[in-house]
Amino acid sequence: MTSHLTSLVKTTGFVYLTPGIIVMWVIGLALIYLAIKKDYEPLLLLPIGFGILLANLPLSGLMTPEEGLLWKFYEYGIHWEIIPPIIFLGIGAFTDFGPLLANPRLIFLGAGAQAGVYITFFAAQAMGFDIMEAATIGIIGGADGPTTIFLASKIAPQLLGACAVAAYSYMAMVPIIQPPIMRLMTTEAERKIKMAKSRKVTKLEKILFPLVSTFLIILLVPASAPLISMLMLGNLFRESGVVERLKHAAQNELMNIVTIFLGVPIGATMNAEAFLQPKVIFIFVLGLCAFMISTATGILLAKLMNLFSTKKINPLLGAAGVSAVPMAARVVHKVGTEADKKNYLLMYAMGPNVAGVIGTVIAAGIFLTLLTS
Amino acid sequence: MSASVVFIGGISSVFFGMGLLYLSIKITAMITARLTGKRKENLS
Repeated sequence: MTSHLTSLVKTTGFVYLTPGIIVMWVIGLALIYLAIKKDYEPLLLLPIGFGILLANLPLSGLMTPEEGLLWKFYEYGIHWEIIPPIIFLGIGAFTDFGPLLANPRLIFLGAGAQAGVYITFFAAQAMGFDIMEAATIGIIGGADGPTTIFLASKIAPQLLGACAVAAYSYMAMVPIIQPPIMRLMTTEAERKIKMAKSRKVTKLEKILFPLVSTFLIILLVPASAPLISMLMLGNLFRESGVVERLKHAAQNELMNIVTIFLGVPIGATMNAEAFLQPKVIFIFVLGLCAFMISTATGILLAKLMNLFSTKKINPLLGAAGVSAVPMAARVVHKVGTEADKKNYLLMYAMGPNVAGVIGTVIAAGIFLTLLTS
Repeated sequence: MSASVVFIGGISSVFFGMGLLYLSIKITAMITARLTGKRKENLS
């Protein structure tokens, strides 16, 4: 009787609980709390938090290779590079490139904000991370969740969970992280700079842009093709005006479905053994540094451009060069209106903000090209 | 591949990529101007 009871107990997960598993439950529940109570990137942090709980339920087998349900989501969705490009299809369908087309010189602010990616990459390598891990940590500075996931799954899958959570956490904290840096690096007079009025962009121009840029970018960085091609296809859906159903599907149904299948398996990669390591703390610290440096370098580049230009750029726009769309642009607008209530920077900030998305994709593509060739 | 090569090559390639994007916007504006028969400055 006693032996039957013992073997019955052994079939439950309770006897396999460890302190590490309990810590992971706390982390999972904390993410769910932040998503529900604080509204921090709830679309991603809620399924990631739940995925963490599931991955840390002993004997569930959800992440057992070849068999587990979440392993299949991860393998065929993320490892096979299906989900991140589909998310980019949705982002393309959402994105209006009009502000970028109206002010093309603001594109370079999107490049300036990628400096944090490479500086942090260098720092991470100096701290002992291998070159693949360092690249994955650096890309957090681009503040682009799907690109971080795309790169991590390709070159450092062991860091996928930590890097994804770091990227989405910092994206949610843009309104907290960026304003102090913006105020520190600009004067009151600079924050009051008013941008010259933008020209109106025609529909034909908006249709031609995704076609022309697809050719040029993919020819330059072939490794960025999966993300850029889907981004531009989604944008063509939007701008063509003839495939409203496809545009809505990419923006809504498809985006929502892949968000579910992205978040849960990412959380499920975070089991106690893989996640509770000292290097995860470094990943979060370095990721934060990357993001802060990207903000600062974007502002510095705007100031540098002002030295050589008669048409002054409000340096706050440089902070929108990170790709947290549209949060970073909104923060720029908010800080700008604090200095001058009539200084509307939102539409101008959308230009570098969108350029930042493309810049991060190019940065990831370059990492892939240089490190895997 | 050493980190310094990736660092320098990476930053310069991102700027080159953005330059290419800038070029694609200019080409787009030029094609649009040709197709509509308007000057680039007056596309609207």
